[in-house]
Amino acid sequence: MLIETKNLWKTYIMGVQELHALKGVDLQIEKGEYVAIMGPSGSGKSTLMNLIGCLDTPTQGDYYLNGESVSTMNDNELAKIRNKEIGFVFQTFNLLPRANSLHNVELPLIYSGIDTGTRREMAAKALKEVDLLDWAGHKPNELSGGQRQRVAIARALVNEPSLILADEPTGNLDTKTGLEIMKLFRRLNDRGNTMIMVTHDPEIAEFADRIIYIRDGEVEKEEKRSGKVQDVH
Amino acid sequence: MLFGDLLRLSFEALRAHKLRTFLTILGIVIGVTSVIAIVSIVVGMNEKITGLINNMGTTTFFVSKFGVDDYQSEDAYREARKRKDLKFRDVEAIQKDCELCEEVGARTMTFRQLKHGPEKLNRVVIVGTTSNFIKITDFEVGEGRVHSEFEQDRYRQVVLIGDKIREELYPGVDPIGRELKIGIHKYEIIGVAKPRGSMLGEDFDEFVIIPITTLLKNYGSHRSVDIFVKAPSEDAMDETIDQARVILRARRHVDFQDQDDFAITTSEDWLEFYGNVTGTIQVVAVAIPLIALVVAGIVVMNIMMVSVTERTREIGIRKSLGARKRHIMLQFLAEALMMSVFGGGLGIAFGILLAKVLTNAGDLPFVISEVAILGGVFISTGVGVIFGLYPAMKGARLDPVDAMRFE
Ligand SMILES: Nc1ncnc2c1ncn2[C@@H]1O[C@H](COP(=O)(O)OP(=O)(O)OP(=O)(O)O)[C@@H](O)[C@H]1O
Ligand SMILES: [Mg+2]
Repeated sequence: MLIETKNLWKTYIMGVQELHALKGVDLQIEKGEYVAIMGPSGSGKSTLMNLIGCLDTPTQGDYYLNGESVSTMNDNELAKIRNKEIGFVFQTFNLLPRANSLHNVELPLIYSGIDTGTRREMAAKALKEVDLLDWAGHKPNELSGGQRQRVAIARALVNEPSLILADEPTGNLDTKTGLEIMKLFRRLNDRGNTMIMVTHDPEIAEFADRIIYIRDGEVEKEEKRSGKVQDVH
Repeated sequence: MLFGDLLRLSFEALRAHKLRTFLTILGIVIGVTSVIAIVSIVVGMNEKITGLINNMGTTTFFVSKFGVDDYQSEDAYREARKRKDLKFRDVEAIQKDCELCEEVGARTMTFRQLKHGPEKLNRVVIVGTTSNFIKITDFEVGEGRVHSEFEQDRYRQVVLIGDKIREELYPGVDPIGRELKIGIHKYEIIGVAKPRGSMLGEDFDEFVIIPITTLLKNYGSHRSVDIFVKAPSEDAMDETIDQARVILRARRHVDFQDQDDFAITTSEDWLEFYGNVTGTIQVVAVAIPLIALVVAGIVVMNIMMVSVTERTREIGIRKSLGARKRHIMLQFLAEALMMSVFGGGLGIAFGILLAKVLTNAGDLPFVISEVAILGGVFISTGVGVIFGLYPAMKGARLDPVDAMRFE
């Protein structure tokens, strides 16, 4: 079991009002799985992803990643997990605008304390995997949306994490580019990466092994899919 | 995170905001420059004055109507003014009766107009001295000589002039043997003093020296003379002072239970007096640029705050990729430190340069004060750390999720 959450709650306090973004979420995700999370806006998808990605800590409940309890970890331990175990892909790419592709991909390695030479090699390899080696010296504003997202994916891959999280990775892309990204995800998953992806788009969700539906901070239903979409038109 | 990465990161960030970086560094440069320049001037001034006072020698003491203590308050001064003047007779008495006194001399002063042909100089200090006066002051004869004891005893109208007088009244000619009119009396020039320069606008070369006897005769003897006495050794100072004191007290009929009605001053007393007078001024002089540095520090802090706010999103991204609090904090701290150390370095260089120019202009000795330089290094890095710390901590504490959502 790669991920196991037990009765996960996240409560935001706004003034005197309490907002329960998550209300007792129980999840189990196996290594190598490809999971899509769907649900209406404001249902708590991003909140859940942030907890799974160790960007945030739950108000209540337990979260085990690789059998380790994350809910009790301190800031530094969480940072280490984010660095080594998790690759994040965001809807808005979240690249550093002043850095070129290679440097953006290098970033997680900097915080792992890896030396410059090795770092360059690893970053170049990751860029090659997303077919962007030729664009290594370009800054984000010189790239298309799809290319930017592929740089972000290379960055997520570079530290060889056990888990890749993507919060609406195709949200800012046109259909064709979105499908290209899905093709890439498919390949990564086939290669053994565990993927969790939030999406609004049922067509995109089709690519996953399993779809988890969230509503009002709770898991509404799950749907195992047998016939994966293999073919991208 | 590797140290080199940290430096590169901070350097890139500074380079990306050139104007901001420049202004911050400028603030620090100005602060450090002024601290170093002012400290150097103060140190140079101390050195000069201490030098002047020590020139008088540790075995010499002055006897005069007013002592340093009599200038400390108006009441003390008013009281001291009632004392009897010290006369040239007193000098002769000490010369005759004080066995320990190795050298006894005297000096008195007045101001007069100098004239040579059509050229005039107003209110020049006329110093009347005994012929041995040269042995205890710091002026040196450049050309010619100072008056002899023989000339002194015969009230000769001979004069040694300061270099400034030569420059003003005898440009391009050898003044020795020529005539100089002091007030209404004519003198023959027998010597020129070596130039001593000036300090803080006061010219040390605008004076003339004539025999004390001549001064008292020509310009009135109703004035007090300052007596100087040279003791045989430092150890014999106290005893020598006592001998001179006993002689004067007897001559001036001071009751045994009364205090001296004259003042005895050693070079130590002068140093102490100087320290008292200038101590506060020096503190203030150094405090002002320190305040400037604090202001520079606040500027650094402000700019770092802007920098942190501007890069909130970047901080969020870095944190999401595994940057720890420490990494973010070090990144900003390194930026602040780089600016301060660079600014501090420049400030030290400019400070030394400025100190050199100013001490030159003020005719002060130029002393590269280690205290000032160490202070500059210490203060500028201190400014970087102290004022960079808060913004750096603020940046480090940001929540990654919130930070990434920041527009
Ligand atoms: N930092 C926060 N402070 C207060 N409330 C928050 C915060 N983050 C999220 N929420 C609230 O929690 C709830 C869940 O938000 P979340 O972002 O997880 O929704 P979502 O499912 O990702 O929505 P979307 O599809 O629009 O991205 C929402 O009501 C949101 O307003
Ligand atoms: Mg969301």
